Amino acid sequence: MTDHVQIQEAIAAYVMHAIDPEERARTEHELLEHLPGCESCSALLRDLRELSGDLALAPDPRPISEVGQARVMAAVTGSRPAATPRAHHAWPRAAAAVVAVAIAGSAAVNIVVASRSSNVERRARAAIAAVALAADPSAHRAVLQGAGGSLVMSVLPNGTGVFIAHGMAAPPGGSVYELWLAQDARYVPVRTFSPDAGDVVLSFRVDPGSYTATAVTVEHRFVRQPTRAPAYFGSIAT
Amino acid sequence: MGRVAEGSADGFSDLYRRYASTAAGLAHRVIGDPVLAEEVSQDVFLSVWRSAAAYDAARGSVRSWLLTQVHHRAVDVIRREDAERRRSFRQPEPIPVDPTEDVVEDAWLRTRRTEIRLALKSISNEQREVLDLAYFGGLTQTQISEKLGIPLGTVKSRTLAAMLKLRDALSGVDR
Repeated sequence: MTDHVQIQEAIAAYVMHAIDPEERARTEHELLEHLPGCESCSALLRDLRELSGDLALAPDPRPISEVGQARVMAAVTGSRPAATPRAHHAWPRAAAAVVAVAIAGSAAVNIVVASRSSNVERRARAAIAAVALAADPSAHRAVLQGAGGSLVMSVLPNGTGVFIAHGMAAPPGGSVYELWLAQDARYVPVRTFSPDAGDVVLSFRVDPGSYTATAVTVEHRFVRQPTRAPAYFGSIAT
Repeated sequence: MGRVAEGSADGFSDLYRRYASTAAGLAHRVIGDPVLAEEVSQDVFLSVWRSAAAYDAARGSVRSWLLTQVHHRAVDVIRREDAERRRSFRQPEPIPVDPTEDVVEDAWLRTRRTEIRLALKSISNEQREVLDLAYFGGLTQTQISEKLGIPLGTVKSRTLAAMLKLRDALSGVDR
């Protein structure tokens, strides 16, 4: 679906949260595929997202009960979160473990896997962030070709990225998929994953760099160098 | 919002004071149950407190970021509930023109509220109907198509047309 009117209609439905659940992953993927190369649709997404927030002002406001106020403020003052350094494009913090992987070699690279959506809400939040990222004009993206399904990866110059797939077959029994970014003719591992009913939403952060391609391999476990030829591959458009 | 992202309870308190009643009003309009609506609103504010670092000013206003989360959460709640049973007890609510006197809010928000309501009255009845069913009724576009007996494509095009007209109606108004 590349027709602008269809994309615009999808954007309107998306910001209204009015897409049928079974269509949501496909729509998100279409937006991720289209937005990075289309400034007008990206601007429309920003405008309509703002409008969707404004529609919240139409109903009458309602007074908040004292009990409700007390509950919220007690939770805030009682459990102040630690301030964290904030990147320009930060991601929702996930419950998933944060893993730092030191890559062997003279040019060691630290990679932090930021989050893996592990439930419906987290997935939805990651997808919303992913679509916002796709509308960012500075994002670089790749459409991966391979063994079936529809796969898109977008990454910002600061190393924040997202990988979204739809209709992806499960890996062979006992194995997992591993996502890679290619830089200077070598593969940098991002993380392993398995599709959830064909869908994948991964947000990640890697060291900033000039990545030229992305790939997915089938592995038995997380490895630091691919052991097989990529099942999926895509060049990163710059 | 920067203070909230840095863990400032005072910053969060300001945000809560400014938007809590709006969030509760939206959740009530969508859910139709005052107790559940307040719970949803509270949960979103606490979620915002925990994930404030996710906010990026380059991608939109704090207001939109916050209230969009309230809207999505409220819609998710009614989709999980027995939606048809719940709706059968709800009466259509006209869009007010003047802000209520019951809640004290700052002048800017009060003015913006009036602008949004007037803009909603500027679109056609058919356009307002699909927006109302989607945004405040929590129906998906397929459900709207079935409810109104019109093609899904018409629902999609009508929704886009309505939002473009609203955007244009509000484009000359300062935010």
